[in-house]
Amino acid sequence: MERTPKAEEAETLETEKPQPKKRTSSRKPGTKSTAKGLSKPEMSMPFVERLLDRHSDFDFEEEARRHPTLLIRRTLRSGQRVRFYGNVVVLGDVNPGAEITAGGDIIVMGWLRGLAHAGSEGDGNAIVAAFRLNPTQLRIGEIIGRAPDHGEAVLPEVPEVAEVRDGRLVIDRWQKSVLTAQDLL
Amino acid sequence: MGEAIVITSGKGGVGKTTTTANIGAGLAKAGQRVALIDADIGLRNLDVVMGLENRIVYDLVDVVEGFAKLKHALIKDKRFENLYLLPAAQTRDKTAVSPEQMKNLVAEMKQEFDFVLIDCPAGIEQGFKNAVAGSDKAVVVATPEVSSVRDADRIIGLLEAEEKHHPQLIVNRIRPSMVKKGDMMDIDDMIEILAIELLGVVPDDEFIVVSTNRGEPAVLNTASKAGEAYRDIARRLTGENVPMMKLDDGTEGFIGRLRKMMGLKG
Repeated sequence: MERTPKAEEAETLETEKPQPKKRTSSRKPGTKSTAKGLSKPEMSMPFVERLLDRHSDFDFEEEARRHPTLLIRRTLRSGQRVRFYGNVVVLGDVNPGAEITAGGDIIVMGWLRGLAHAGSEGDGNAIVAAFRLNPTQLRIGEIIGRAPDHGEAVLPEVPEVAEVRDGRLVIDRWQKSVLTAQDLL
Repeated sequence: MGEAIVITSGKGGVGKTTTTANIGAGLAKAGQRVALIDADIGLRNLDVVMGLENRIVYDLVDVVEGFAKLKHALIKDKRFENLYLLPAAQTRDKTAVSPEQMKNLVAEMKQEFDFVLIDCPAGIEQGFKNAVAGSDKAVVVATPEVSSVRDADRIIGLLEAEEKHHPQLIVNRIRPSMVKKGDMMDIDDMIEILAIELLGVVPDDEFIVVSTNRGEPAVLNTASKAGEAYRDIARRLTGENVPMMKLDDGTEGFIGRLRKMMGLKG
């Protein structure tokens, strides 16, 4: 997980199990906005309808049901663990010693310093994104990456995304990732 | 009605007992009525650090089990009229007391004292739960080491789970010269991870070893830097707005920022 000063280039994680995974689902990005519809469908209806006007071929209600999202409005501290079958969004930091395991994507709106495992059911298309991505260990699907041993690593200064490309864990700037590669909403 | 403060850390050997003894003595010196509880049942230390070991007749477990009355178990300090110690039992273990019993005991003591300081044992098990049960407020002690910060973080999480919110941090044993050289974690780094309010910074001081062995809190020695830091912490606990001590000319940068943080609080 070495970061070059030039963040233009994609960086490669040390992969311990470099197995390319095939696409296991037809997940489409940009669908998390309707996750609240799970608990309060009637309140999110106008929002969903407006989106449907622009993307008439996509059923957000169905997507929200298939990929629910857990929102954690706190910092996860050492020893605290979250396991969820859908996506996990943390509004806070994930400190060293904390663990998140998600069936889908993981997004941390703060420092990710602990362990994150996205796509824990074997989804190699899952991503881990953080405002500051500096995990002790990252796992996506069946691929594991860890922080470099020597403390020479450069601390991140911009939001970054980790994803699997060609069987390797890659950390790249937010703008370069799969999140923005396709035309979204 | 007083305030019960638990002094905890998770990791052992970072200075919980020393901190408890010194803050207690500092508060007593400032005229507060103070009781110290040694909650480290089976590994009692606070009495030794206070130099009161030879006066123990009854202990915390005796009181909780109704074997002795609280006023008989409390040991009056040698130096201060208004400082008392409730020692731990040495021959029992943590399971001898329940959190509920501790809650009642601390509530009873809060009637008599302005401050009840609870010295928490290391670890996160029963002993920690007992120590925390009756407290109104928590102070987390951490040294500038990665392992200590990690354990402090865990403890803060557990305190939140016990509904003890907004703990405060004491950074113990900092060496300004090492921080300056970049060989020691600096306080900013610690606060960034732990994200709690800073109560005080105690510099590494050889006199602490001497004072611990003699059973005289460093707070009483005006020449000791650590003693001065503990006096400041005691004053902050009574609500005074005391600026952070300047540790070294070279460290003005981060100390300046610390002062800003304390200013926000005051």
